[in-house]
Amino acid sequence: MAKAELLPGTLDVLILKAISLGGEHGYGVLQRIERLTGDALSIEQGALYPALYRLEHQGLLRTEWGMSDNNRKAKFYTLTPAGRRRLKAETEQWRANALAINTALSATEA
Amino acid sequence: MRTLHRLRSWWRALLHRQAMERGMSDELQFHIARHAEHLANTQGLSRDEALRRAHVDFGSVERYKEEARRSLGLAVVDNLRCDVRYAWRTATKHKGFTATVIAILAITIGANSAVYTLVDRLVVRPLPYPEPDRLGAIVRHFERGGQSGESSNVTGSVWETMRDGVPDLDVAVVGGASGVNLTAGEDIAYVQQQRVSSGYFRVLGVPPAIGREFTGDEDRSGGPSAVILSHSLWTRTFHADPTVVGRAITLRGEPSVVVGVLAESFRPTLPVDIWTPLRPSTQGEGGGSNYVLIARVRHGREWTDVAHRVETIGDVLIRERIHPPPDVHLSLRLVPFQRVATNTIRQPLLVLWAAVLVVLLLGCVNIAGLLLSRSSARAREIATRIALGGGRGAIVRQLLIESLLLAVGGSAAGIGLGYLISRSVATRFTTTIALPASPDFRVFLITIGAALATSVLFGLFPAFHATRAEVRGVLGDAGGGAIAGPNHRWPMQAMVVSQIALGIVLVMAAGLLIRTFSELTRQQSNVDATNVVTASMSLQDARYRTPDAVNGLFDRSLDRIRQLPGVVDAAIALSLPYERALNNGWRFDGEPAVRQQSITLTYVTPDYFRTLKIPVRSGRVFNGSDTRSSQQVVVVNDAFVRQFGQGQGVVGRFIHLGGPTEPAVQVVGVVGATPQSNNILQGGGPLAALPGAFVPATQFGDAFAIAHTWFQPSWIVRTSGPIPIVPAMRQALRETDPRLIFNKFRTIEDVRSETMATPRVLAWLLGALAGIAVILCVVGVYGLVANTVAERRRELGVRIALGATPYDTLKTAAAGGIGLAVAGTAVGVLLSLPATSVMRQIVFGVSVNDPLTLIAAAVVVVLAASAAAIVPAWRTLRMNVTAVLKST
Repeated sequence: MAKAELLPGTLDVLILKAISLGGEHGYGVLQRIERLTGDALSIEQGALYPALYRLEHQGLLRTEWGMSDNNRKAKFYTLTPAGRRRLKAETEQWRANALAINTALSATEA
Repeated sequence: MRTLHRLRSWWRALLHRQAMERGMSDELQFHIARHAEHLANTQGLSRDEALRRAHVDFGSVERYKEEARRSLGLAVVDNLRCDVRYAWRTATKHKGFTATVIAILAITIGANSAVYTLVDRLVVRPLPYPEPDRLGAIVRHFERGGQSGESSNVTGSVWETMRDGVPDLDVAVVGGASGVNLTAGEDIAYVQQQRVSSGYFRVLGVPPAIGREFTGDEDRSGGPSAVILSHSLWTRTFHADPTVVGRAITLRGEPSVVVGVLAESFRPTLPVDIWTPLRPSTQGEGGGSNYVLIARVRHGREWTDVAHRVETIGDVLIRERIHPPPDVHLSLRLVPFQRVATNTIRQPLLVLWAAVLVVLLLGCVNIAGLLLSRSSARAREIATRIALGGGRGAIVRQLLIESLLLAVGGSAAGIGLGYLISRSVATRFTTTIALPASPDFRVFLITIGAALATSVLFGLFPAFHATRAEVRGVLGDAGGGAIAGPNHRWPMQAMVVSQIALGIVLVMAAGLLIRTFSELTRQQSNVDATNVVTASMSLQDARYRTPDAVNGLFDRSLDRIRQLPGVVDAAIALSLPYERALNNGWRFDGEPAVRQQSITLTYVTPDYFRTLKIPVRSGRVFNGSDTRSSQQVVVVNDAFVRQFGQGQGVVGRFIHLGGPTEPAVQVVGVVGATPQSNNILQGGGPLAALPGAFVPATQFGDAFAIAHTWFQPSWIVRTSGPIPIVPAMRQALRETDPRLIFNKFRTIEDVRSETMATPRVLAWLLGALAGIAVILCVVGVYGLVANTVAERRRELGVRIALGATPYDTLKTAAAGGIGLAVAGTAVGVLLSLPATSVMRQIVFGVSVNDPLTLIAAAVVVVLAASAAAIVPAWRTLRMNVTAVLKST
């Protein structure tokens, strides 16, 4: 099955969404995104990390070292209040855009 | 808020870089390990295969790490670190270049900061007294045949006239400072005393911190003896005792009472430990120009109005009382006190400042030239980087950092040097206002700014040059097929010309000061100073006011000293050769008025001339038969005869010294004149064989008391060989009078060095600056020629291959440099004619446009520059022509 390329700017919002479901480490975030998108999006796995670091740098994510389910040391990400606000704003933006594009694309010739 | 968070995150990453890197590695490894586990579990792959696949799915670990770092804003820092490391490598690789630039920066920044700090403190910034813009001094201004001058010394009648005639001024007078003996309890200390009138501290605006200043009563002749202490003397000798006011001490051999102590922050215009009442008058000391008159313009009055009033009433005084010679226009003026307080150092300092400014300019031009010449050398490197895809921004950043690294290194060295220079200057010029021992911070900033701007501006030149030029062209060209066109070198040529012109000006200025110094040194001394030691002593002492007391002391101390083993001759004189001597009015017997030109007057004991081996030209010198009651006699020097004798002998003639009521004295002999320290305002250099007269100490009469407030007599001892006589002399004095001490022992050579200190230091400093200038010129010319030769290697190679003689080749390669040197010299000669005229007040014995000095300066610079042009040209002769021609 051909996988869709990720639209620019969507990775950040997907990460925020994935983490909003509960604190998770990087690999977990990736798995969640795959699950959430029905495995339809393809990214190189490593590309996740620059995005995670950027979001953390912007104060949208908080990190904490902890133990993973198989007792290994892992870095866990949670949303900060700012991250939650950003997710909300981005979601609304996305919906509005999607609506606009949908409306535009479904317009029939007059 | 968001920005703050980012900044904090960035800062954390920067601070805990290693932990951050380790965490990042751990996190990515964890990811890959989990993914591999997942693959192994779901797809049944082997461990190794699963790990391989996990790595493939992840992508390049290093790339994502780098991107993550950039996410944290660390890329800027990383690039910077890399650039700095590269710049450091470049700098250490080109050691000669780096060292030259840093040395130039250090010298220009250091010298400028130190000298400008002095200029700022002494000339620009007001004196450290309240409302300095209201504080002035009244000076005599005179003009004669286009020349004008100023003397800050005025008579008692000027003081009286201004005090009574200008109510808008608050005035006070100051006498000179002199060393005196202070007895407090058991100790005898030698301290610096300054005599001031009552109101002096009020006019300065600095009342004593403890006690009060002198009252009018204390400032009157015969009034109670009072003293005011400096903070440091109070701390040193009186252990900062707050109850010191009212304490009795013995100063100048008389009991006095402490009435005040000054604040620690008070800065006198001279180093002074103790102040005593001046007791000004229009008679005696006040009859001559012996006071400095300070004045404060009262509140609500305009400086210009008051100054006008001073001049008007001064004119009346001059017309009625002073009678200057008809060709001299004399006036009294109110000038800022700062000018008077710093007038001895002002002129030399301004010249020095001008010189270091020229060096700064030269340094900047030189650095610009060096960077420019390197820019063409680096054009190829830069073009290569651009061709390989290097961003232009990155290259500009790289060059900027290289320039900054040089500038920072140079600035650091310059700051260090500035401190060293400031400290040594502050300790050397102790006779004026307390000088700062460290340069002014703002001055550093300004000079460093100039240096930074120069190096950054010209350091970036190659970047603009290369990024604008077509890369292929540069790459193709740098191999050097073509004859280098001259057109793109004009900025460097202009720089070399201006460097040489500036160099000439400095060498010329230094030459004038060196010639001044050597003229001063060459004066005939008429003294044999081998094995002579002198010892000075303050005789400003209540017990030695009468002629009998003084002569008694002289006789007894000389008797003891003559009996010391090894002593051949001993004598006492009011002043020594090379010292400043008492100035005295005089006239030939029969002339109606005292002559305008005064002479030096020195009392001596009979053996003075023999002790110093001063040649007797005619007549006789003094002997034991010249007593108080015998015919009063005088010995004059040959400078006196030359100036006033009108070709006739003066021996046997009678002259009057001082006022009209003084009896006539007979000239009995003529001796060789010794150079004396000279008041420059009267014309001539700081050291000159002034017309002078000597009188026997036995006949000096009542003048001892006043003379000893200004001068310290010296005991002069000639020994049979170089033997240590100082301890024995101290002992002999102690046996004569235990309450007197010699305060300094000097050879005649020491005295001479003291008088010559300023011209010597100036000649030395300007000589050093001129040396630096010449070196900078040489560096500049060498750089230009070496660069040209490098660019024209191929052309020169072709010429040699075609049979050019070594002479031709040399000429082709060096001619440009030598031509520039000559052009620069021509400009420099034209420049230095007006430039050196500002030195008129510190150049003696030669004209400020002295052609010989100018020619010498031009020759020195042209020779140095030509040598700098020939050396790199010479190398072309040894080049391997075949290799050069094959190299493209």
